Amino acid sequence: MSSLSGYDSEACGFDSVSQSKRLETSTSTQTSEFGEAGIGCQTNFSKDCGSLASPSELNAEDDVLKEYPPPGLNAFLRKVVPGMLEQLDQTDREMLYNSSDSEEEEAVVAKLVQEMKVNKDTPGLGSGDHQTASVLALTWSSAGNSLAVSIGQTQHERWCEHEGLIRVYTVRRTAGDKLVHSIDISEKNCVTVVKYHPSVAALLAYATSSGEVVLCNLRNSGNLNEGMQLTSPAGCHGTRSVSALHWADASLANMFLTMQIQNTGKRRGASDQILISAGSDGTLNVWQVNSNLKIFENVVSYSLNGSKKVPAPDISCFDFIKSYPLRPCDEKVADDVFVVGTKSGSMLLCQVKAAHRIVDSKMLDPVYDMLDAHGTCVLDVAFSLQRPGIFASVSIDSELRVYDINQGSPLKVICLDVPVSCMSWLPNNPCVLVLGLARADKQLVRLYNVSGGRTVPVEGLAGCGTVTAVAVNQSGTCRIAAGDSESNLRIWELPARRIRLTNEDLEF
Amino acid sequence: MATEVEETIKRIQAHKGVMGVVIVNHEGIPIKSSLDNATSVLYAGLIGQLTEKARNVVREMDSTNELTFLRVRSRRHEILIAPDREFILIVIQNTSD
Repeated sequence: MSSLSGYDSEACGFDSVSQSKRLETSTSTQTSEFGEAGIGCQTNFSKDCGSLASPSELNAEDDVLKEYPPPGLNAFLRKVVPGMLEQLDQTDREMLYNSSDSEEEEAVVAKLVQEMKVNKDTPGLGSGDHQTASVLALTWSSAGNSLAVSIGQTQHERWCEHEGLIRVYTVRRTAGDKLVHSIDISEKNCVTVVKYHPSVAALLAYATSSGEVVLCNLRNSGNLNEGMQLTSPAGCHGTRSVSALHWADASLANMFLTMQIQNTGKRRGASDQILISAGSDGTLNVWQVNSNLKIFENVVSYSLNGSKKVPAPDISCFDFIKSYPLRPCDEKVADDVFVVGTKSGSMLLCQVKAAHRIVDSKMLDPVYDMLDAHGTCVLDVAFSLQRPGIFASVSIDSELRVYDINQGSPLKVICLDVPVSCMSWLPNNPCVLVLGLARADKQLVRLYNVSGGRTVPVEGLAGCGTVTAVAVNQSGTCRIAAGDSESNLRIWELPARRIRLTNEDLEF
Repeated sequence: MATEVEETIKRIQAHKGVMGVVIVNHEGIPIKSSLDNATSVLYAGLIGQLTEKARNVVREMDSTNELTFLRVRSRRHEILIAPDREFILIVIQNTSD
């Protein structure tokens, strides 16, 4: 212990207080504000994800997705699809008939798409006469994009001394799909009839009141006055007025071209066509025409009733039966039959193959039957486009008749309450005729259902005047062109599908 | 198996005026459609609700009865609806021409 110092070894404590002062620093990391100078951004980007599915469900969904189609889908489709297709078919029928709950027929509304005066800028037309020029004939091209209009006089005191004019209008897209005047074809006499070829769009045939038949190829319209028109030999139809023209369809053309080969031994050209013209002298000429090879030859001439000691009929109209090769056997009819209407009202039934020779003449007489005659001049005759052997005719006394070539008496005789001037079948419709009215005070054109014997209610065809020519084209939309005695041309678009047809109409 | 569904849809689509076909499952999700995605979802949602409502109406009037078909005709379109427990077949047709 003695070695111990006298210092007390008791530990003592002291506060360790540093005397030297340091600056207090704060290193807080809870940034409440963050600012960046020079960069502005107001874009708020938010994304909410929510899920109510439990993990087990998600796994189940995965299983379903892996399996396609989902279980039961095929069975479901097999169950409901027949019913669905049935309902779709029902909709089609309803659309076709425009069915409504009421039994009353709903009026179809035709839209007047264009109206124009076709004798504008034609000072020479009708010179030496106080009559105003009328529209004499109309024809649509096969595609419906061109309309040829013949303008002239309907009445001539002795013979025609008027100049004829054909105005060709073409649909122009730049003019809002309207008809725009493209070319004029002038003639020395009135052009009584114009006809576009039903399939070769550029071929236009016309005939005059002096008995000429002319073929134009409008594809070469630039050279129209340089001999591109082919004309029939002089003196055909006895230089009397040509009243009707008809382009033969393929089967009829084939028949006549075969006849020509047999008669002359000449080969036929691939683009040969057959044109048939009928004149007031009671003759009917069949022409082989080819605008490329400049052929215009007579195949055969018919003189109606030439073999009988009766005066030659003044032909006012004729039409050939429509032939469709795919008709069922029981509906097959002779494909060489044609019917001729005359100014005296008689209806002559003719056949190409049964034509007999006339003594001391090269002509043939094709008449094999006479049907019950109209009382007055037959204005127009047209075979049905859908029913073989059925045709309609109208006469100047407003009588509309429906004939079957297999019986002499008409199937129907309908006396209309308005004077009629011309007619045409409505394409794609079995029983509706488009009638051009004369001296109309309310409606210029009337649609008539020959099966039901009733007028089809159509609104929008209003107007007054005398319609002298009517032409119907069905290429896409149904367009009716009507020209009148004041040289007005009107074109309507008709929603033809909306015309209601009954079962009887369809079976007509 | 999927081809049967495709073929069926093609067959319906070949019908005149048919603009689109949509098959909707019981959750209102379009599982097969010939329309674009947005239109399919729109039709599926709206038609799903309408079908449910119509189904209830039929049941309310007669508890033993059942909705089998629904046609919604408008000026431009017609919607044909074939409902079932698991799926709904919707066909949209153009009626304006």
